[in-house]
Amino acid sequence: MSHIWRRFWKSRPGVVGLALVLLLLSAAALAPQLASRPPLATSAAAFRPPGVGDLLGTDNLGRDVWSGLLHGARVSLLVGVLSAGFAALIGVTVGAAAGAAGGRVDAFLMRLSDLLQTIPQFFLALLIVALAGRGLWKIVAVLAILGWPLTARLVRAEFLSLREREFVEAARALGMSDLRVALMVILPNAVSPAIVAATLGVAEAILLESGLSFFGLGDPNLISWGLMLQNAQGFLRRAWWMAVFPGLAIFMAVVSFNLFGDGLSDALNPRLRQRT
Amino acid sequence: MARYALVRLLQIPPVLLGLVTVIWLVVRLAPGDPVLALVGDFPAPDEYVKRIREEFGLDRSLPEQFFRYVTAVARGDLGFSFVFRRPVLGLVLERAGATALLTVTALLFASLAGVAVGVLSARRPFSWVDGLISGGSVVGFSVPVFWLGQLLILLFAVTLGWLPAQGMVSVRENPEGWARIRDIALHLVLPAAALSLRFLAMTARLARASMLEVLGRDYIRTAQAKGASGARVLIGHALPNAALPVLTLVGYNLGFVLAGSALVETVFGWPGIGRLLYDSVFARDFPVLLGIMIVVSLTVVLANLVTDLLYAYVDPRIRYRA
Amino acid sequence: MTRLVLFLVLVFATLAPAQTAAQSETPRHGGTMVFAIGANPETLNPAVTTGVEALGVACKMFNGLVYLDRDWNPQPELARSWTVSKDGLRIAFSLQPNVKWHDGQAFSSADVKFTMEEVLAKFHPRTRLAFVNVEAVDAPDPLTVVVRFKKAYAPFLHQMTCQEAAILPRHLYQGTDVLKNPRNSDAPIGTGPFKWGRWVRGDFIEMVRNDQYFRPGLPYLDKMIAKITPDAPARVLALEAGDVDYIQSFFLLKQEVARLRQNANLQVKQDTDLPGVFLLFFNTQRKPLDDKGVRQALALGTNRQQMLEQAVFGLGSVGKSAIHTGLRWAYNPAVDYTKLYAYNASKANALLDQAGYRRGADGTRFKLRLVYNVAQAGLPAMAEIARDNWKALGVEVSVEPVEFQVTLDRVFAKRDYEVTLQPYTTAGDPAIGIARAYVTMNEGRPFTNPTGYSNPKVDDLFAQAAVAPVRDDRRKAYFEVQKIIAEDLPALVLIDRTEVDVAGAKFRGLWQSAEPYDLWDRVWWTGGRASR
Repeated sequence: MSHIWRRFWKSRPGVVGLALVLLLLSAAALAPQLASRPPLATSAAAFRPPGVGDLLGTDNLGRDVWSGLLHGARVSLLVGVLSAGFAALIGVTVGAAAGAAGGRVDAFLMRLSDLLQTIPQFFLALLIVALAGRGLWKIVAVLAILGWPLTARLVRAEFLSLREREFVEAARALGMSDLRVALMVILPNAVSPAIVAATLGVAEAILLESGLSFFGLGDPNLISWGLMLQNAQGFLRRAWWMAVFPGLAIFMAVVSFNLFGDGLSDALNPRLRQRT
Repeated sequence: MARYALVRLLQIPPVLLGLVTVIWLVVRLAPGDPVLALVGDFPAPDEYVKRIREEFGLDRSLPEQFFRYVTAVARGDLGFSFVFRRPVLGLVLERAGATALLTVTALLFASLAGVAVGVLSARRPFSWVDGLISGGSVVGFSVPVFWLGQLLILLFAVTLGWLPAQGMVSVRENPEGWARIRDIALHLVLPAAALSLRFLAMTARLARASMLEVLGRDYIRTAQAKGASGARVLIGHALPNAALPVLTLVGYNLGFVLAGSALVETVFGWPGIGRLLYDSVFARDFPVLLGIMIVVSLTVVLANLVTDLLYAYVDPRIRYRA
Repeated sequence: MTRLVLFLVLVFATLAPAQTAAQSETPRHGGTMVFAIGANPETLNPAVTTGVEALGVACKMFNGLVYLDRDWNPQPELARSWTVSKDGLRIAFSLQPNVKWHDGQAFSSADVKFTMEEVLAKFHPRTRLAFVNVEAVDAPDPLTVVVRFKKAYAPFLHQMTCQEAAILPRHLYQGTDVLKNPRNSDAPIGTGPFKWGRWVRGDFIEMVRNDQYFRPGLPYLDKMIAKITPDAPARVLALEAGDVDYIQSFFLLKQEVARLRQNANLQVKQDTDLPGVFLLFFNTQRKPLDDKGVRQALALGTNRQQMLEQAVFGLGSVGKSAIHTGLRWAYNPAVDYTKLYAYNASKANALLDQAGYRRGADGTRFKLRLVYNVAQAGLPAMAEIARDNWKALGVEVSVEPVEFQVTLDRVFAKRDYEVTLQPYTTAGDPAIGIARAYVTMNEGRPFTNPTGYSNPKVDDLFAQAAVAPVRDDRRKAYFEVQKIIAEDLPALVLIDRTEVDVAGAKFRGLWQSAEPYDLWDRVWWTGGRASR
């Protein structure tokens, strides 16, 4: 394990990414303390530009943008981490099952993941949320259900390649049952692409969630970055700060997970690095 | 090759049917009675409501409705929009041109610029230029496209006033001929720029990786040893090999680009399918939502097919495995 | 002699400018006016719809029997004059002579009788209800129509405008399926100032001057074009660029109004349509809203001034009573919600304590679901403000923005809500637009009373006012009912809306009617010719 860490520290983007992720997590955790006002609190002071008293300005209903950013971080991180996490869990299970079982099970599962990957995630998520109704947990569920195919494919591929390797043969020769071989020998090795996929998946999920909120399908009882941007659309000329800061927050969150994921990828799969 | 193409073509109808089923099922389970939306602001006579129900076939059983829908789609009839009060197909086709214009422009620009950037960084791997470009591509990949759109509007339209903020054409008297083309082109700049960034980043990364891989191969070194100039090697040998992965990137990622286009069109008021999507989500106009989903899925399936065929044509190994 | 001539010349020279100044107020002829609508009209038949796009286009080609002037008094249109019997059970209309349909056929009472009996009474979403009171329609001669009532219905005359009761040509509609008649979607034939030109779907509808219009010399304009612009910000941009000359309130983004007022090339006008209100309905069949004290407390805890400023951009006034203050003859000045329910959070809190709903350990007294139509402008902001205001009272609100159909289902049919926000038009008369929000309604019909509130005295008073033929009697009933409602408060009027139109400064003669659909024959363009 330690050699993985050492490799990770060598990757500058990875380290920067991790630092940003931790910053984000702490901001989200400390949101109530750091915020100047409850994010949904309206006031008469609408359209105040950034300045003393209103750090990043206020919106059309007098809500504080800074507080909205902090509390929005909670929503984005929650949705991002949970949906990517669940998608990874489902993906690993499905991929392992497909890779290990092979045959018709494999074919069916791959057909299913094909189908899900054909319809662009954003559109399908849009449709489902438009129908099922808005709500935080619904979005997490939808994104998890749409996100597993990628991980499943990666894990399955690893499974298929590892199946034939010597140490697996050795384990079988030692008399381990197929299931034990699958779970204890192959799986730990197959998991590393899943971890990378999950991390990058958080970034993707944050983008998807903010996109859905921007389209008006976010949870209406919570403040989220995408919702703030949708609101800003009608007031671009009047209040640029309503658009600039929430978008910046989304960008930072996505970049941090992408960098972190890249760093992890370098650390876990050095042979994939591009060197000539 | 022909056999492979045939096999792939035959796979399409069942895939489409599967898609339509999934999508239709998801939609029909929706809450709310669509008929009431047509009826309007004040209490309507019951006979009127009944007529509307009959007209839209909403009084039949669920399997029957599904069958009617599938056969209709096969005929090209995507249903009737409750909100726009027009056939869905016409509505979608009318907007398809605008979306195609935006998407193709963005992809073209992103591919060319991405390859150029990727090549540039492959020439001097791990230099500061390379580092900058690599960093830039992570940044480009991470920017939410709708925010980027809003930023571009704020900068170039509101503050500097160089480019229009909304729409596809000017609201002045409809210009004709070259003036119209120029007008549309001006309106196209910002949305296409916003849409292209993510794909540019992906392309740059891929082009760089491909180029490095190709440059490392023996026959390149041989050519270089024989005295071929760097540029010739790059353009004559390495580039064509790097081009294929980029093309397949386009084909397999069309779905993502279309999703981005939906967001960009909403920000810029670009009159395409993406804008229609936003309006129909807002109004919960399910026939239109359904229609768009089907059209988008069909496009993606076709793009995948074309890309697969292209890939198989160039790389014979694929064909034989099918 | 020469001096006299010189003197006269000088006099004329100084008088002449004064003459041209007077002339600029004389209507000029010619010109095209472009107005923006948000979507393709769903029909071109104004007698079967209340759709704003449809009426905006069709009412330029059709007429009603009357139009409403700025004081909401009916004035002659297709009806030249009328007499109402003392008991209100009989109205006799005398029609304009020499009116021709666009295809040359003569207009007569037969058209009116047919339209009323076969079209309006059966298909018009709003006016249909008015005709429930009608016994029969007679056409004793080609220029006379007599409407006989089962019970007197006071607002009837006010509903005979193009918006509510446009007259259709009998010779083209009789014997056909009125709703499916091809004239509903192409080449409609009306009596109006403009006739059908052409429709380029998704782009524009063109209408040209009717040279046979029954009012001599009118219309002034040569053409009217309805430009279909689905994108709201684009409409405003088009107006500022001069490509569009008029935007009706319904299609105008209210947050732009402040900016448009500064534009010297535009004229902004308020009170351009029959007023509407934003209502907050309480579901009185659910606890704790069955308690009058709770409803009153919530009213006290709502900052309606903030809503006026931030949700509606100041376009209107804070609601004072169940009856819109714009309906001057019916509004009771003794009832004033801005005094009765002036925003006071501490008073509200005290009232809630009194009602027995104490705060829990987390500070919450009870939870409510607030349902509203997400696509209706102004409601999302109002919902946010209400939620925030009531948080200070210990009331936790879960906001549920749903689409229009679901609103109809949840709020009106199933009453699955605690609080809801709804925009209601007054339709110019309390009997048409306001009574429906407060009278007993058990059938779950949309846009009526979804609260479950049922007070026989209120029902009675509204019913009385609807039939009393004399305005003073109506006024008495309305004054009393407002007092009761102010106390019972099944619904709180948040804002009395005002409608705002914008037009190019070069157009005159607009807004002479209380509604935006009438009198387009009187609109003229300052750049036109002095005479035909």
